[in-house]
Order: sequence, then C-alpha cells, then structure tokens
Amino acid sequence: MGDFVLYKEDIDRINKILSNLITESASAYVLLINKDGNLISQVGFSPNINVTSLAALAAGSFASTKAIATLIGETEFSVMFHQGDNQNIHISLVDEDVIMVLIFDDRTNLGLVKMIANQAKTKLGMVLKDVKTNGIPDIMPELMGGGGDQVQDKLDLLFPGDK
Amino acid sequence: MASINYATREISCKIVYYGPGLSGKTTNLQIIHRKIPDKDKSEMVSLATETDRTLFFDFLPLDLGSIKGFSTKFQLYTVPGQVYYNATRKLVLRGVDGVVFVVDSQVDKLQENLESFANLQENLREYGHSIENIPLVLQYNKRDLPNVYSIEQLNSLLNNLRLPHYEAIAATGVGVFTTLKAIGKSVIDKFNAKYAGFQGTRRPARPGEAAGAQAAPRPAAPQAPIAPPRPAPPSFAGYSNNPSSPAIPPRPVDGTRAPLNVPGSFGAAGQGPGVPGGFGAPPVPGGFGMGAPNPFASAPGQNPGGSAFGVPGAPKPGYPGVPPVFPPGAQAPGGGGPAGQGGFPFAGHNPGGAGGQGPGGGMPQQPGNPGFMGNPGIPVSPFVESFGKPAGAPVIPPNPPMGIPGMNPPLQNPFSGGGAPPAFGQTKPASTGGPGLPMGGGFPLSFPGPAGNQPGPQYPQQGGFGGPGQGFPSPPSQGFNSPGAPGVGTPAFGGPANAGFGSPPANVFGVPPAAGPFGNPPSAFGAPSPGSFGSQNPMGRPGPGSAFQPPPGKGGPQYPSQQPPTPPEAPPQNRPVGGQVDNSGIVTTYEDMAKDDSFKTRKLPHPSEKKKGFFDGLFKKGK
Repeated sequence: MGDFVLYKEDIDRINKILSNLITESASAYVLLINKDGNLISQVGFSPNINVTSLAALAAGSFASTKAIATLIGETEFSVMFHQGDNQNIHISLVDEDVIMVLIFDDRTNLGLVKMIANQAKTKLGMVLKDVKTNGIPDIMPELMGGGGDQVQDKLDLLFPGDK
Repeated sequence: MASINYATREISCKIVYYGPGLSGKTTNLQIIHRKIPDKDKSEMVSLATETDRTLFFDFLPLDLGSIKGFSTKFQLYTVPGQVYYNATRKLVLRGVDGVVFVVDSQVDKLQENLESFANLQENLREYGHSIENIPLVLQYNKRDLPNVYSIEQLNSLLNNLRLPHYEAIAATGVGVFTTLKAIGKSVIDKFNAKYAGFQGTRRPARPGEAAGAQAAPRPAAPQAPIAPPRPAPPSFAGYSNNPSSPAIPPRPVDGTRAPLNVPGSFGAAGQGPGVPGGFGAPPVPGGFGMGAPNPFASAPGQNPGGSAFGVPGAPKPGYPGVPPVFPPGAQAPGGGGPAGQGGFPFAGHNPGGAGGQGPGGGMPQQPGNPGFMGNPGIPVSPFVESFGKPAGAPVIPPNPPMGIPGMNPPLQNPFSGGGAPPAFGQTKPASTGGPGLPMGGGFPLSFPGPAGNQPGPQYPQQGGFGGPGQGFPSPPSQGFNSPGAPGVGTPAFGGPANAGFGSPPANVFGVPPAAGPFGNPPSAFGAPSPGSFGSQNPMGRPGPGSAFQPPPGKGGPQYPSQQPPTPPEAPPQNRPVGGQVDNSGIVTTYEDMAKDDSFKTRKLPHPSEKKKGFFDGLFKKGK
C-alpha cells in the first residue's frame, strides 16, 4: 500500500459522482474516506458535522465490523446501515481501501439510497482505480525538503513554551 | 501510509500512541488537546468505557498549518492498552505513519512494557511495517513517581534499537510536546528520505486531463488576452476541498463545448437582495430542484444565491437547525411550480433566493442563439440554459482574471460564463422557432429584481412575452420572483420585470469589475434581454408563448435607446450552451452528459405526451 495521492482531476471526478449521488438519492451528505480514517472528499450540506472525527470514527466502525465479519467467517461486510430517529447513515465499501459514508434523513428512503449508492460505487471504483496508479509528482521532494524542521517550528508556534 | 491530497493540498499523517494499559497515552492526547490554542482547537474523540479506560481509540486531529504550501495535519490516535483489546489495537494501527511508544517507567510495569512492545512489533508486521522502518519514538513516562527505572536501565531493557527517547510526566504535560515534536519531525523526515531525489512517477495525464493542463482558453472569452483558468470548484456547504488551490487546471474546452454558467449562484449587487435561485433538475419528474450552492458565500460584495433541494412529494421544512434565509422579496424555494417541493434548503444558510421547480416553468432562452434550443428533437437534457452571454452581446470586457489574494492563478468566476455585459437593444432576439426542448420540467427561474437600488433600464411591457405557464410579474422592488403557476397564460412580462438584467454592467453584482474577487465580469448574467424570455417557449411546444419568435438578426423588441453601448460581436458558437453544474462546481456540458451514462438513464417525457392520470385505464369507458 503506497501513499494515497490525489490530484485535482481525481477529486473533480470524484466530486462529480458524489454530487450526482447526493442529488439522485436526496441525501444530505456524503463522505469518501479511506480505511485509515482519512477524508478523501466530501459533498453535501452538513451543519456542524465534524467531518474529521466522523471520518475517523466511521473508519473505526467499519474496521471493527470487519473484525466481527471475520469471526463469523465473512471477509468483511460491504454495507453498514445505522438508523437513527432523524438521521441515518449508510456506510459502504467502494473498493478495498475506500469507504463511502452517506448521511440522509427521512426525506428519502433506504432503498433509494442503497440503489443510488450502489451505482455510484461502481463509478467511484473506476476513478479510484485510476487514483491508485497515480504516482508521486515531481514536486514532492521540493515540497517536503526540510519539512521536518518546519513541523517542529509549527509545533513550537502552536504550543509556545511547552517543552 | 500518509494521505496526500493535491486537490486540497493536504498531507495527513497518522500518529499512534502505543503502550501498555495506564501508561499515559490518553493523557498525552488530553494534554495536547488542552494546550491547543482555541482558534485551532478541534474536538477530541474518546471512545472510552465508563471508567475512562480507552475502549477503541482516542482521536485528536492536529492542524499544523501550511508547510511548503501543503496544509499538514496530524491525526493522533491512542490505542487501548489492555492486553485483551488487541483486536481493536490492531485496527487503529492501520495506515500508521509514526508511533509513540509510551513506557510506564515504574519498576513493576516492566513486564507489561515488554509485552506491549512485542505486541506493537507483531501488529506492525501485519501491516507490513517494522519498528525499524517506521518512525518510532519512546516516551518514558511517569518520571515523577518513586520506584522507577533510570533512563539507562530503560534503554537497556527496551531500547535496543537506540530509538529516540524522551522523559515525560504526561499528567503535568512535561515532555508531552517534546515527544510530539520529535515524532512529527521524524514522520516528515521519513517523507523526505522517501522522496529524496525523487524524479516523480506521476502517470501521464489521462485524456481530458491533458487538455486541461494546457490552459485551454475559455471559449466565451476569445478576446481575453490570457486564457482564463477554469474556475475553482465552488465549495459546498461545509465542503472544504480546495479552499485555496493555487493550481487550477482549466477545463478542456473546445469551440463547441462551452462551460455553463451556474445560475443560482449569482450574487446580486452587494446591496441588492434578489438573487436568482438554483436550477432545477427536471429529468426526475417532480424531482429535485437543486440549486448550485454558492461557493463563494464569503465573497465580499457577493450575495450568494441559494438553492432549493426539493424532494419529490415531500415538502419539508428546512434542514434542522439551519433555516433557510431568504432575502426580502424572495420567495421560498419550491414555490415555483405545482410540483410543490418544499425546498430542502440545500444551501439554506446562504442568503439568496432559491427556486423550486415546477413543471410549468420554462427555461430562459438566450437571445441570439438560433438553432440550438430551437432545434426540435435535440434531446438535450433540460438542465440549465445558462445565463451566459447572449450571442449578440459580445464580451466586454474579457473576463478580468481577478484573483483572490494568495491564489495563483486567479480564480475566475465560474458563473460568469462569457461574462458579457448586459447589452439590451443590441442583442438579437432568440429564434427558438422550433418546438423547443422536450422538457419534462422547467426551471424555476428566479430572476433578480433590480440589483440593489439601481434598477436597470426599464422596458416597456412587451405583450406576448412569456408563454403559458411562465410569468414574471416582477415589480422592480422585488428581488426575487418565482415563475407563476402554469396556466397563467397572460403576457406575463410585467414590464420592468427585467430590471435586474437591465442593470448597468457594474451594478449587477454591485462589485466593480476590478474588485470582483472571482473575476466577475461587469455583468455575469450576460444580460439576456427581455426578448430572450419571450423567445422561450416554456412548455416546449408551440403555443401562445412562442408567438413572439422573430428570426435571428431581424431585430427583436425595440427597446428604448438608453442601453449600454454596443459591444462588439462575439462568435455565437462560443456562447455557453448549457449543461449541469454539480455541487463541486464542476460544469457539465450537454456533451458531457451525453457521454455520461447516468444522464442517459433519465428519460424525459415529451411534452406532447399526455400525462396519464392515476385513474386512466382503471375504468374503461362504455362498459
């Protein structure tokens, strides 16, 4: 597993699919995260959702479900659905590394969401396949050169006086 | 495995605090969380038992800010330390970039430390790492307690690899940040080492990307000396991608494929309330009218357009907690037609109008676009006919590539289309003589009222404008008007309804061209003349509304002579032809849609098809 490198074009393609997904399924929000809990992209309307935490927790939740799946002889569960009073969450596996988290409420229904999500999954899978062939851009060494010291400087700025 | 997002220019690294139970991993994170300045503070997530033992993990995102142009983020995790939580511990280690091993320095905890360290090695191995190749630092914690090993002893017991080690008293914060800085540096230095002398292995751009990277000129602005870049994707509500992407490749376009303007995102003049609402997505009968959210809600002087996200048959109030805000004079979303969607205020926090979608609504046709909309039988999706420049209203001036400070290249207003100024009187009326589009649903056209307090030229009422089902009775003082209910059928252009369009160029947005932060041309509306509405048969079939269809070039409604100066002619083939805009601001032209399978599946009913009622066919006549 190499570094996950996303370019503008990839994000554009992904967002286009996610936007259509939101529109067609009448969902409120969709996140694309990887299994490590990193946010890849997000589209939708989210009042005060902490997406970073949501991504980390959804990935954790998915991971623990996978562990449960192995206990009962499955490799992993490809779809998870959590139903709430007002908001529901539909988590599905896009490919072996990427998870799609779809948040919706009673403006739509699970069947529609599932169907549309499944369609989007196929398209996203194709894009992600391309993403995985992304190499590292030439600018990488230049960007990261001396980055380690800069990190320390940033941390010094962030936590002044703390040793 | 770090995540490098070139779109958002973010690097995200995962750092895991590992160690035996009760060694102080969560305490480390709590101290860090407590010391983060309020402005940067993010929430710390703890999945803990009732006795505050970590059950799954603690999670603390830490934003370091920009390093060499990349926003660098650390995601700090802890693991549950107890032996029997190894399954979850392993899960947390997935994708780790760096590990802090927190050692409990007490003499009687040595065995637990050793077991935990062995467990770390084992778990790392499962993910293809090893303690030799992953950034790892040791933190000798609880140095303030009695009966602790000396540093030398701990090193000899645990640190055979001569890893960097730091003393700490996590409960009081001593050593916590030293450790954090050490692992942060170590993680980033690992990147350095990995990519040192790296030549780049980026695969060749795919077709389409390549053209995009060549700074293809925007067709609508041929006069522009510099090819304007493709607009940045508007950020959606809460959508943080690409907040300041400096390198935005222009979209590949050719002469026949023009990007579409985004209605629904026009800011009215800074002082004006009215903003046209979103566009409908008619392919779904009674479907969603989803406006493009204004990405530049924070743009100074720009009044963001709202949008309505109507759900079929389910009129709902706004999203909980975020009531839509509409400017005075604006009509609530969904009011546009009998489809009756309650607006899902997708961008309800944005001031600005939002248009619902009604079957009776039509699309405004651009003046001077003979042939396109008028062609019967062109199965174009009735998405958005842009508010772009009319063909007869050429571009003046070319889109000024104005930049947001710190942005390079400057963003262009994605909604400006050709950026034609209003050119009333010069624009030729459109000739949409054909049966028009097979539109299932029309568009909630919400035309701006007068931009601000400066209404544009007032035109005398033109009888015959607007077909059945389309009414624009906008008094000039009203900022926002939804199309009337179908069947109004009257000459519905209430005279000054188009005052907003008639605004002088600089007043449509209320932003002087040079100040337009997003490269607004003086009038991003492109100012379709009133004649353009008349030329549109909103129902897509010949009818009273299409009675006014002068051929192109023969002059349309004769307007008073107080129009803006005549701009030079623009090539008609360069005007935007329409398409769809998604939430990320990606402009999809009809050509794109024709290629996209998802669009093909949307079958549009021909307007001439009789709508079958529920009872039709249930009862047979005469029997």
